[in-house]
Amino acid sequence: MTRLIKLGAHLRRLLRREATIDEIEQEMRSHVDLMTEANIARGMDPNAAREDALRGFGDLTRMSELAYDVRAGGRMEPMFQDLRFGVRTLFRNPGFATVAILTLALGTGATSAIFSLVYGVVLRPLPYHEPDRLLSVFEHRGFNMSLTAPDYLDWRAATTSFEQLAAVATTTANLTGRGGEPERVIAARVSGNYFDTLGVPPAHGRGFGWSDEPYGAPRVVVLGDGLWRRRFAADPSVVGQTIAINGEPHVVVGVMPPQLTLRSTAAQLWLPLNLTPREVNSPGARFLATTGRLRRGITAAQAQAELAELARRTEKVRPHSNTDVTARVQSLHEAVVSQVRDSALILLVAVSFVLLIACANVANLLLARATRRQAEMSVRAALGASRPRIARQLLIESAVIGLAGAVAGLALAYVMVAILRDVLPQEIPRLQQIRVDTVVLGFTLAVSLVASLLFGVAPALRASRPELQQALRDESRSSGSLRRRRLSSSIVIGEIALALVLLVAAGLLLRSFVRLQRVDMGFDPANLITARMSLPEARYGRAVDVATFYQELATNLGQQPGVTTAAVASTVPLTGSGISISMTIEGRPQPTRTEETPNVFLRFVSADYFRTLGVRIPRGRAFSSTDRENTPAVAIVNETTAKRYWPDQDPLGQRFRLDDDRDGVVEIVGVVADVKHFSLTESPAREVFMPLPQATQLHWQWMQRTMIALARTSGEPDSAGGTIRQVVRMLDDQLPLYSLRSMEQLRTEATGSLRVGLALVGGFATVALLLASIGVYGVMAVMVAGRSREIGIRLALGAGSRDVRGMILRDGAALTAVGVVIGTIAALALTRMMEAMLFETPATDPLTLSAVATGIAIAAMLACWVPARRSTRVDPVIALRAE
Amino acid sequence: MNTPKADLLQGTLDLLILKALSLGQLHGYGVIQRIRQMSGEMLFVEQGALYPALYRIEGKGWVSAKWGVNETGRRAKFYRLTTAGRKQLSVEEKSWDRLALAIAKVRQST
Repeated sequence: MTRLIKLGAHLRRLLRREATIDEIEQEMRSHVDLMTEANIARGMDPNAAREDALRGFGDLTRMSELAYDVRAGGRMEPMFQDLRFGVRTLFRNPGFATVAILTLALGTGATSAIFSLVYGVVLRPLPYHEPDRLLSVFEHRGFNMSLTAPDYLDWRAATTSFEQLAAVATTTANLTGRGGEPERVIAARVSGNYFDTLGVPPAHGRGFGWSDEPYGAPRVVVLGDGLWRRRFAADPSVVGQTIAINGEPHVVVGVMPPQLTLRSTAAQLWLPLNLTPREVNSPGARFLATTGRLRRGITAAQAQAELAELARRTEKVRPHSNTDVTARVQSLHEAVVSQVRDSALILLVAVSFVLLIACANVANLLLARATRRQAEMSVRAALGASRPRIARQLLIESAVIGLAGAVAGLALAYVMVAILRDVLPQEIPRLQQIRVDTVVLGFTLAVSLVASLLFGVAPALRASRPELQQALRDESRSSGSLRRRRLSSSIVIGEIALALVLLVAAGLLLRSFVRLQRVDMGFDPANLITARMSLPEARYGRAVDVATFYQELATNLGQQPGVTTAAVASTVPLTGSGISISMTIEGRPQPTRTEETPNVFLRFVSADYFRTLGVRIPRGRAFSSTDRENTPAVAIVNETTAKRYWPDQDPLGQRFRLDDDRDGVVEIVGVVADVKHFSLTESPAREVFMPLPQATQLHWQWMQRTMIALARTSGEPDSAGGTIRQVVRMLDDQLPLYSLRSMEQLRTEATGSLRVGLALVGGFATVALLLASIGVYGVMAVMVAGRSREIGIRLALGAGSRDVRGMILRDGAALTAVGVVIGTIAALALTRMMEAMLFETPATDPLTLSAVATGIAIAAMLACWVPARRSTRVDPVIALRAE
Repeated sequence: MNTPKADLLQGTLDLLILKALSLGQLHGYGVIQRIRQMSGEMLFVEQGALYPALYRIEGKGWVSAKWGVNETGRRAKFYRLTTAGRKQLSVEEKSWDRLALAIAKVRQST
């Protein structure tokens, strides 16, 4: 009810207000009439008399509204009044409003979307209890490493700085039985205190405790939210039930809430750490990612000092593995986001450039409009509005434009964020949680207000200048525009410079991308398909069982129609994993320091692996079916290994021992070309290949009995996916097949982050170029219009249209040149930031710089061309009379 | 216009308007004309300054306004001094006299 009364009062006030405005307008008209009459009585020509009376009033309707501002005085909230006036002014000029608002929407929308990414991924606190007290703990020898099991256990027992020290070993698990098809999921083996350390309580059931941790404890599992929803239909009663993991029954004891999963590629279920006696006694295997919760009141530096001391003690106990190994801590937040922070910030800088250019364009529009509104401003000043008051009015109008742009921009941001979630590489932590939330809304609001100031302040100050008003009273529309022109020129120069920096960034990424596409991977990627599988220990306990299965798979697959050759291998190109192992070369002394110990990646492959991939074998031979479990152990090394360890010798016939459970030596029978097994950008790794049947029990354990089937097809590789599935099912119908990918797909994924970076920065640069061109065009057009009198005089004095056009183009070229120079300097300074994103392209690549500079110069000159042409159509007579 | 113009001292506009209206009701344009005549063509009030001042004075209740018709039959809004306005005029006149006297004294000293 009170609401209704309020509404009524509001309406009445509004009506009264309209009436007042009407009345003032009538009074003004009457004033003009009376004055005209008096002027005529004094002998003036009727037209001149009215002109004289009208002078100073301008648009009468307008004027009366303005008079109302003054008259209303303190009765109305002046800000509110300015706001309404601003909105009304905008509506009066919908074309201007639409262009300005859309331009800003583009700028603020894109900026807000990227800020959502930066905030959600980089800035937002981790979703754990008191995340500030969580540290990542590393062993360190020149670089950070995971902890070994014995070191972890020792440090955990000894530490006083940490309340808890928790460890995680990432693994994979085959899920079979309940809930659907057999499937392979990423899993984590975690210490008993893991969930307590993070301080995340389970959504259902319980987490792990100390009793779960020891080897041989009852088999239990905690499910992640995603897996629980997907495979178990979010059924809370799954707690207490038994499910099959790697062929073994496990009791589900709990379900964790979603925030525990930072990446979509992270663990979907947790198993207790259950360190095997072998692991506990492996001082060389660094596989425990360790997180500690600081005791209250202890600083990271103190914890670091304590761990360094513990590391020194460990060094004495286990000198072989731990010489020169110290400890490092890093805030967990830092450890999670450090990989992506730089790229995210680069995107934010890039998008803020787009916003700046958008602001510059709107500032230009406002400046141009200010010229058209000079009469209005002088009337306002004449009616007693002070300079700050006029400036405030104009700034509020800018704010109205800015806010409208922000609202439209938010719609764009929502869409962009949804797209970003899908297209960005899924390894980015917390990517799926980015959204336009209240923090982002606040940011957008702040940005739009700052932007309003940016684009509004210069025109507002300019328009409220008293000297200018003086100039206006003389109705000379071009004389006061010199300063204005200078301002427009600076804006255009800024726009060109900003656009140039963005284009250079995009150009560098493009160049990197092209280089990346041309990388020689060491094999022929066409028509190759791969699929991964892991054999459960329960049914494939012995090495010979595993080897037999994979050998049969390779043979069978090779015989399928549409498949030319097939192989099975522990690693295929671009998938990036492997067993790192140290070796002792026969006839050479054992090095004293660990880092001098020869170290290679060991890979097991079936006989046809190199033939299937199409890898050159410059020396020796490939594996064959005669390399069997009981024949002499043989190896093929890649060229990098050969060069590193047998630089002046023929590697063929050389022998070495591996740090594993094999008794005998291994003899090199061949050398293969380097293949990009990890990523496109890697420098070649040292690799040793051995025939699949010669993998020992320990090797299979390390590899978790995981292999990748690889087939070269005669046609489209995707169609062969079904074939692989069929063959695997024929051999074992309980076995999940995963990561079914063609090699081209793997290559696309390998270039993923660069591809997305290029798409985003390239998109921003394109928008920037477009906006800057529009800006140049607008300024030049206004400039030509402002100089029509001068042009008219020149034409009247006999200048040809060619001369006039040349004059305008020269002006444009001068602005462009200054912009290009400033932009180039800025680019040289700023692109260093993105060095890490580039591939075989220097951040100051001269070719990119010069190409971009040329391109932007051409674009700017094209933008000048239209106004320049128009200038030649000035009719001297009309131009002169217009003044 | 060659007549030397005196600049209006801030705050004197109210006095001038009230004074102009003290001789009878006038419309806005008439106020401007009356001030010109009374000042011997030395003071010219611009409409941009006049109307805000008129509205302000009206708001204070010193003048009242009414639409009417002038001698040539044109509709115009006429302003008339109220009793409060008459009082205000004498207040302003006195304060102006004091100010003029003070200024004269200051100028005669030295």
